[in-house]
Amino acid sequence: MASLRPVVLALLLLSTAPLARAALARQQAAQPPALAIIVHRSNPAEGLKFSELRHIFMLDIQTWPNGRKITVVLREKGQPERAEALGIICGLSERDYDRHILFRTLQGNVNFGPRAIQSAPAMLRFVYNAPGSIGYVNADEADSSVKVLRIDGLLPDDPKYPIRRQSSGRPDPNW
Amino acid sequence: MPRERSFARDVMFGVLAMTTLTVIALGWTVALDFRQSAEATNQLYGRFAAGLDLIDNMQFETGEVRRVLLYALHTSDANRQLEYVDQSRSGEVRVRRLLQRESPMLSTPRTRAAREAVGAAWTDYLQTRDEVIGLILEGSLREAVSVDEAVGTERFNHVRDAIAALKTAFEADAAVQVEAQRTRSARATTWLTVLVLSALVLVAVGVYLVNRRASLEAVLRVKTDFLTTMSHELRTPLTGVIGITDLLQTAAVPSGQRELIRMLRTNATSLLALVNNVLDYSRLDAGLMALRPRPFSLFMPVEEALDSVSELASRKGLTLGYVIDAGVPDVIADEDRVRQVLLNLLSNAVKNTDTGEIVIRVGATVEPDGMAAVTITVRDTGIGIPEPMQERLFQWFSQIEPTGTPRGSGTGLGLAISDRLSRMLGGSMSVESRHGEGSVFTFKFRGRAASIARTREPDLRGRRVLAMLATGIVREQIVSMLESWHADVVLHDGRAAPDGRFDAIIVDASGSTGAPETLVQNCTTWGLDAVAVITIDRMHRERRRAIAPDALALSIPVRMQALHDAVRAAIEPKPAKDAPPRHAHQAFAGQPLAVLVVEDNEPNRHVIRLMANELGLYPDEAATGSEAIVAAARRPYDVILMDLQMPDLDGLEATRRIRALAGTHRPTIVALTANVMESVEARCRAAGMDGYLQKPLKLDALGDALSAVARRGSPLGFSGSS
Repeated sequence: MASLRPVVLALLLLSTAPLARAALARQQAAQPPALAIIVHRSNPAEGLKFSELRHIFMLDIQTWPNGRKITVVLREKGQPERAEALGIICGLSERDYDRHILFRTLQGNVNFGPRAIQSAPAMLRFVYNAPGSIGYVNADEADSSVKVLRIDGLLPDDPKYPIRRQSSGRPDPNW
Repeated sequence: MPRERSFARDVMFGVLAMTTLTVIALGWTVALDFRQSAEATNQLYGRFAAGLDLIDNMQFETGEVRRVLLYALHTSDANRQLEYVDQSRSGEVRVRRLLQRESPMLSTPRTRAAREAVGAAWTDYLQTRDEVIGLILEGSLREAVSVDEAVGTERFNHVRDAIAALKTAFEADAAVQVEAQRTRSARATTWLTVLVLSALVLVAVGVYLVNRRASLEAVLRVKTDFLTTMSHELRTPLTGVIGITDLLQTAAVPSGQRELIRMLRTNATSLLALVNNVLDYSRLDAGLMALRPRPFSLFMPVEEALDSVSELASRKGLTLGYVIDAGVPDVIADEDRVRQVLLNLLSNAVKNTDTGEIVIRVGATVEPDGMAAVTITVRDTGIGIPEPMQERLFQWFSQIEPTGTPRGSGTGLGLAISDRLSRMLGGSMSVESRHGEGSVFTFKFRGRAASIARTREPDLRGRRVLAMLATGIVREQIVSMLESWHADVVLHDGRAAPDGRFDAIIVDASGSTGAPETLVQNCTTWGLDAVAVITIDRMHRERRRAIAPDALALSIPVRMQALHDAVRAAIEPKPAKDAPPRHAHQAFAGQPLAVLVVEDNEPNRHVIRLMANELGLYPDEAATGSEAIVAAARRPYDVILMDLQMPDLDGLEATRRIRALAGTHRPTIVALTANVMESVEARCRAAGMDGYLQKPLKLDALGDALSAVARRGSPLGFSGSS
């Protein structure tokens, strides 16, 4: 009996694999859409911890490991995508984030604040042209012109990916 | 001369035609070359403009790429900056396309290298630009400006310099190509100019030739008309002279004056021959000589030509004869011209031969297409012609003595006319001669083989003829003729009695085979006294009758019909010996014709009257056309002999008016003219004439014409009426 235990387990696994894949798909479909964190393709970084990402967006960290200045790119003020992203990443409202940045600037800790871009395609083009920039788009909008970073070792298509929008998952056409 | 002139004209027109064809061919080539050159020029300038446009665009677009980047430096709005960046990127794409665009003018080694240099400089600049873009978007405007000024400007200047170098290289290459094309265009233009000038020259030459030809033809017409008129004016009085001498020769005149009359006639005849030669020359020269082919037997012109020279040949003691090969057909050709050529050759032969004989031989080959190639040789035993002089024999105005030295008399037209006539007849003329051994002239012509219906073919089957003739052309001719009639001919030297029965004996009365009197006596001794004797000699008839009073006498040259009649007379019962009429045409005396002679020239009218009297006719006379019309209205004439050229009313108009007279009687109207042009004959026929007689009028010709009218009561017809 003991010798048959691995075989039985393997058969069970095999028989349950399609069920597991289906359950995963259902779980993904039920999850809100992920936000892909994008950088210039020449950027040597492959991933960040979520805490590092928050520090970067909070301008606590302003240079990349290779010494290049980090340029944070957000959507324009007043756009819901800006507030939503700041809420997910920084845990701040847009107003609080602006105050934070102002405070940091007045402290002399910030040379240049985050850049504001009016649309997702512009976000992609910006990141494509600026080697030190970091921004975000819906995961399904990211293309090969930019590099998508792992966050906590996970890519946006992973169910455990930490950066997801708060909405029901129905994509906003403005994203 | 017409032949040489015609040849020269043919050569000239040939050269002109070849030149024209060459100019047309060259023109086609030049026009194509010119068109290609123009197209190439257009294409070259098109490529040149396209190349310049490409370089200018390159310069503009590269400037735009940098210019929008500078705009981005002057705004802090990320979206605006991004728009400028996008514009710069679009400009970069356009520049890349311009650098990659193929252009024929930018494909030379020099321009290709220059383009590669532009591409390299542009790539360098783009690196800097991308760096500046990054700095701008990241907000590092000051650093971006610094990088742009420090590196971007310099690299962009390299781009500008490279584009300028490309333009310089392009313009240098274009200059070379434009210069080459300009040279080609200039060459094409030059050729086109030459072509146009050549065409103009050709047109000018053509116009000149046409005008010159027209003027030459006008001159030729004037000359021909002059010669024709002069010939007519010369022939008219000659008519009178020869006619009078003909009458005087039959009249009873002292023997001392008879020789003078003969000399007078000989000189008049020579003068007439000379005039005829001049007339023929003028017609040949003007190309107005036309042939009048009709069927004839070759015996006729040969015998008539021999007859014409027989008197002179007889006086010089020359023997004349001819042999026509069996199988020589009758032919359709111009008999008059054949006779004329033969007469020319015979006249020369008789003139240049003092002893011996002159022989005509006629042969022919009938070709499968029915054409007969006739060859007539005239061989004499004269002094001959040196070989170097033979080439000049047939040239116009070539006067050559048999010795080869230039002759002082004559026109030098006879042989040249004969040569041209033989060519017109489709043949040729040649001579073989050795100095001292005589000459052989060969006259060839072509005619369609024909067959003339004869009332009775001679047939002497079963008849035996004893021929006591000396070796020579006369014996050969007589034997040939008798054998062609299937007679059995026995040649005999007159020394021993011949065997067998004979129907006729032909004796050479010249004594070459023994004295003729002895031969005749021997015939009696050999029991042949019942056989009729035919004597052949060139002597006078009176002497022949003295030798053998009852003999039938034939003259040399022997005529075929005369030989046949003599043999027939010898073998058939003799008719009653009636005194022969003095002239055959005196038969008119029994049925006189009513004849009107219309002639303005009084001596000629007198001669015609005397000739008519000789024929037993007593014609009425009219001196003008008007008088002729009045006379014709008053009396129904059988024959009206009408001169053509008269002062008040010419013969043609007089004929038309006579034909227009009321009444059913239609007289036979015969033209008297020295102008024998075909056009004159046609005008005579159109005016209502029935025939013509050629001046100078001869008694025999007049007799034949009137005899024909008397027998047939019908028009004479123009063919052969002369």
